[in-house]
Amino acid sequence: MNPPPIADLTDVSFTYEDGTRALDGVSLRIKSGERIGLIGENGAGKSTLCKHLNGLFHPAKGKVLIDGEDVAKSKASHLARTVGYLFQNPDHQIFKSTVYDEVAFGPKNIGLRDNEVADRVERYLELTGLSDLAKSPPLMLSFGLRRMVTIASVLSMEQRLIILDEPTAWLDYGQAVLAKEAIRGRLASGAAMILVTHDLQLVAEMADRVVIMSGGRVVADGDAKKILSDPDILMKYGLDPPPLTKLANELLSEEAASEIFAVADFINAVKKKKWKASK
Amino acid sequence: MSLMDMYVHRDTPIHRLDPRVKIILAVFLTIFCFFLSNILLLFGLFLLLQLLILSTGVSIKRYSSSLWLVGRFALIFVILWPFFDKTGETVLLDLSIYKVTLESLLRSLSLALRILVMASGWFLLLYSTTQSRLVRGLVKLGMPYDLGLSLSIALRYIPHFIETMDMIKDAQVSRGYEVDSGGPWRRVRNFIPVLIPTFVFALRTSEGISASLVSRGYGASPVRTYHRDIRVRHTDAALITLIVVSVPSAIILDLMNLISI
Repeated sequence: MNPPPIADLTDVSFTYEDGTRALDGVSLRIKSGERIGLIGENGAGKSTLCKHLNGLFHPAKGKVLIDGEDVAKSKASHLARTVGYLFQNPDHQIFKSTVYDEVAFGPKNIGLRDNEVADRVERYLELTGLSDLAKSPPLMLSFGLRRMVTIASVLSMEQRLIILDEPTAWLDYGQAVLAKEAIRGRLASGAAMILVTHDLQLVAEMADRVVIMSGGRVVADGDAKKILSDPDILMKYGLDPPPLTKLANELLSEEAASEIFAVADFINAVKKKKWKASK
Repeated sequence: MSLMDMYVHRDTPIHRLDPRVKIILAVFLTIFCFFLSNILLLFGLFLLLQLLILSTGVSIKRYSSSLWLVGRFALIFVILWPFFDKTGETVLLDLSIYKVTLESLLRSLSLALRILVMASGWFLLLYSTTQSRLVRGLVKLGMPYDLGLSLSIALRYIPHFIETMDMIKDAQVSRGYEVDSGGPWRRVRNFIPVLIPTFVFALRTSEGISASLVSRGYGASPVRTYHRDIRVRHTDAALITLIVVSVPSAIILDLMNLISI
């Protein structure tokens, strides 16, 4: 028998107090280990959907199950054991006096033993390049480093589903590489990911499935390569295809573009084309 | 929605009044409520203010939720009053420590009405006056411009801070933290992880705003000009006179026991 999906949304609708209908009959199944890129214009309902997954919001209609448990009957603080949520702004969570304590805050909340907490904090500080800053006050760090602290503090809880809202925004190149590696490390152990971003190149690098939302509805859901290489569907929902895909579409062919999501893919395709031409 | 973000986008006679008329009315009503105890006068005034407030176009649902914020305090006064005031001869209820007499009930109702009248004056002002006109009115009444600008910025940012505080709370709850659990003292302590980031956010925001103001030339010239100024019309002047004369007169008449019930 197949294990239950880590998240199962059935016909979920939600309306804000001011009357804005943010979700309209959304159904979605997320299996363990899936890497989903959740994309769409601002106001499409992405954040509202994610807040249903960790219990911050309860659906007005429909059902959200996390690991078989009804979200409407659970508290967000309890669901934090299963679902991690990286918020965009690091200043919305940092309050401890040292980086170490800030990263330890989540693991302590979910009741891990002290030695386990210490082990996780040290591991994720190492992975995010923050080990030397463990005793520094996090509020005094640069914005990019504060962002890295929040990434470490969410990953250190090691939940089975992690929701990442623009995880590489405001990071410099080196920080972004470290952050992506740390996230990939978590995913390698079987965690599922929902990546919310406007950066489709990042989606191309990190996701194997893409869900497009528009007007509170899921309007496309499928293989990342197929959707990201389809400029028509992306542009229909106000999304700009990844730069490499656009370049490949322009210089090579539509077929080649559907396989190009990284610089190395592009170089290989160009070499292949040159080689064919020389024959 | 915060109390400071209550403006109703309409064009009614109340909206068109000079903000100074409404500020003076709210201030005079506040003073009036400290002195007046006549329950019928207070009730009549309360009803009149409700009509004026509803004429601003605010929906009954929205207004009733705002009024309830104040109304519950008024209700608590009415409920708790008999614990402290057991005087009066007409006993309505006697439970030993909780004795309600007609006289004490009337006094507690008068106190509740004072709170409601006082709040209604400010509701009328905030529903029908944009923040910029409110600050222009205060500056015209003598408030220093710097203070007026600070007040205007503070008012504008209150909803933003509330929204930010909610987001911070969500972020901490998402890390498994229990904000709303335990007894009252525990709950206050639980809020520390929410309050510290909110405070830091406020400091960072104010630093950003002041740098932005200075970089756009704020304070470079001692003389200010205004794109949209406010002027007192005949109706405004007549209303200011009416308020300034009638409110103190009512207080004097009440204090001299010349209004009898």
